[in-house]
Amino acid sequence: MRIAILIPLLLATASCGRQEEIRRYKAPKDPMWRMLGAIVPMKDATWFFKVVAPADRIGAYKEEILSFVRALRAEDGEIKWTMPRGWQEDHAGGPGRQACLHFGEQDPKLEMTVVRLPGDGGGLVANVNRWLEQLGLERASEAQVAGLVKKVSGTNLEAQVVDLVGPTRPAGGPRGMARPEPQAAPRSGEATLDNVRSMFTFERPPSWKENPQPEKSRIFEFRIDEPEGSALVTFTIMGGEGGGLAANINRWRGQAGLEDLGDQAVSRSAVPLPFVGTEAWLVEAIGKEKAILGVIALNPQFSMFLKMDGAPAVVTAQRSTFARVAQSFQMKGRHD
Amino acid sequence: MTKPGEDVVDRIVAFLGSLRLTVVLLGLSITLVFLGTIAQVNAGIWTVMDQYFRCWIAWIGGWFPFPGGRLLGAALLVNLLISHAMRIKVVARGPRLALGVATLALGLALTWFVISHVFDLDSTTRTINPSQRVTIQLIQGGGAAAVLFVACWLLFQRKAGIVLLHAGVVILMLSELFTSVLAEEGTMTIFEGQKVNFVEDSRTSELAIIDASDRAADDVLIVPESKLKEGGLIRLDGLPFDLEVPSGKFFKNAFLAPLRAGEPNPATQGTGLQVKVESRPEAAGVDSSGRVDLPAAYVTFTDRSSNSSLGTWLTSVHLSRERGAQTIRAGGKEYQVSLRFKRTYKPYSIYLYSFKFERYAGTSTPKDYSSNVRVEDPERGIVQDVRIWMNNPLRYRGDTLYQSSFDAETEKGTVLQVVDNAGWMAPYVACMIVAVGLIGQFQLHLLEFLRKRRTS
Repeated sequence: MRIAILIPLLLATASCGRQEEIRRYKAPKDPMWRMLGAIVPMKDATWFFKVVAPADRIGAYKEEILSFVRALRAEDGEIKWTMPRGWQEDHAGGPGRQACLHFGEQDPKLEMTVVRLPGDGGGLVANVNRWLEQLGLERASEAQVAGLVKKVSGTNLEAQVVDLVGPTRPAGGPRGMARPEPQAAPRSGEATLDNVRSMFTFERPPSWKENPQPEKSRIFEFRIDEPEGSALVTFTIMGGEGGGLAANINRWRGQAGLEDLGDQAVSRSAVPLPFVGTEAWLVEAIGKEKAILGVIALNPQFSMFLKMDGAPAVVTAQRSTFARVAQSFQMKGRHD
Repeated sequence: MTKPGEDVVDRIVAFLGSLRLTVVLLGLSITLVFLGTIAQVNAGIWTVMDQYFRCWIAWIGGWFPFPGGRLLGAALLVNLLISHAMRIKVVARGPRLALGVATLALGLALTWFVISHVFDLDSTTRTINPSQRVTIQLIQGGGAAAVLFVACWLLFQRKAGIVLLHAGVVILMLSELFTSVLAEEGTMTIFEGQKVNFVEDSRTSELAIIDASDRAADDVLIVPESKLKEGGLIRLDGLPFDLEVPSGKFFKNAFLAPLRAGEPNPATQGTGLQVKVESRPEAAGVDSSGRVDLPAAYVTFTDRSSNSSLGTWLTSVHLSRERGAQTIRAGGKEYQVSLRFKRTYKPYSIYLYSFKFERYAGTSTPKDYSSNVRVEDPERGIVQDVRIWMNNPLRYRGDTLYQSSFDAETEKGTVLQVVDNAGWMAPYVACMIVAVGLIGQFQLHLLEFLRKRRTS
């Protein structure tokens, strides 16, 4: 009798467990993302006007957006715009943003970001390819990019628009910046340190003393000795995205004896800067005992770090030199 | 006179219901918890759950067999039931017995109602203060437990509380078994202005092969992670090709790195020609950073009709999220292939109006996270705006949607934890039953003591 009670109990517990099998089903289409962007080159800078939203939301506003782009005008080397009716402007944008324009009737409103980057901002082909990759699309050749962009008529500016739809949501911020062409990536496995070093050219200030045999993982290493103290400049390349912008900034802040910043504050603290033909972020962490200047260029395949680290008096005095050196960095054979 | 066979059965039953066995099983359970905790130094929490607790045999360190959580739980359950069957007898007779059985039936029905009815309630249709909601649920559970106690008192009299509190323990154990087998959990990531109708479970992955040629809906074939891990040829019925994961080419957690020149590369097609996989240890259970594993696998596809290879492709969750799916052409059709977190579609969708991350003024200390969403359910004709915020989940169609995380980069995307666990109320009710059982037993002893003192 008692055994008769036990057997079903044991069977009940023993039969539990899920076996996963191959399944097949019909599923609704994944939500797509659409990016409508305008690139407007000026004399010293390039302006980017970009709207990113779920694909089904932009269509109704495309003509309104294009009308806005047509109405852009140049004043004193800058681009000015007239706010269409119902649009609102917000200057509290992310890094490098000149403005955020909000429009549309549905909540949340659509957002157009306005970004100004120095020079050619990485170039048309690199930027369109960056956008394609952000949307989960294949990269395009120069000829294919030419087919994707359209010149905007009815404006005195050299504005070009691109309208892309893809399956992944483009991220803003540092991951959204132009990255080098894949073929330009240094392939450390096939190269000695000298080979990798020979791929880069940059201005070498006379006061920077180069260590021809830098420590492991560093490509270049310089020392600056001044009466107020010394500083070390290093250039490093790492595989992958190197932990991300926020983590690196906060790591450097920690080294300088500063507190971590929140995600938004981190983004605001970084200043966009062209670096090796791609877009990077200039970062400062000035502590009482130690100061750090850095340039961070993050890419999915490899990331580059140029860092000056030393006595605050020396580092702060080297600010403009450091920025000049960073902007002089070039990779041989690279043409954006 | 008893037969020899009956004597053996009685001995076995006596052993299964013995207190010694209880002590041994509890000792083994404590040891298993300790070993499982130590294992989380290197292994992920869900790996440990599967390998130590939600299994019959736990292989400690990969080689030493130890009773798994499921075996210990089942043994404890059997031990508890048999020991009660042996030691506790129904003392009621006649009308009292009938009344006791009827009250027991009522108590069980109420308990079931509390567990299942709460599950059916949708918080989209009513607004209730969360503290009030918890209080009401505890009162409901306590009410059911009180009825059960009356039934136990009618049936077992002096031992009513003991029976009831152990019944609560049984419910607690069964609810864990139920949860481990049937509960599903995942996250719904939604950006402002986006509508999403599926959840992703970052604890496991799946290879999705999608025929998107139909404009209305995708034809999706899913190969679960367990099949990919097994390796070997996997036949894909209904598709013109089969697939195989070469031995050792499934990675539970992996980073992508640039491919060095001359380096051996399993991939012959797709993005794997540019990047390679670097295996990483899975996120440990003791890791407080909240990292998730990003699986990757090299997959070889073979055209079934021509028996020719379609190449070996690198598939990776990271790659799929950054670059989307890769396209394979076979049988005159294009198929999108991607390794992704396991996905479950819901009959409703959630549209995100806005996500708000509030901080205390002048600090970066979080004050509140909240998502203003719209629930859309075409089947039920429901379109309703709801706010989800910390400790205030949305309950809808059996799912509980908690504010879980957000997109830290933009703060314009929310991550909702979606839990489908029909038995989520059972532990609360079980605790109330245990509490009522303990209090009841104490009261019975107190009353008996007082009665004896009065009579003496």
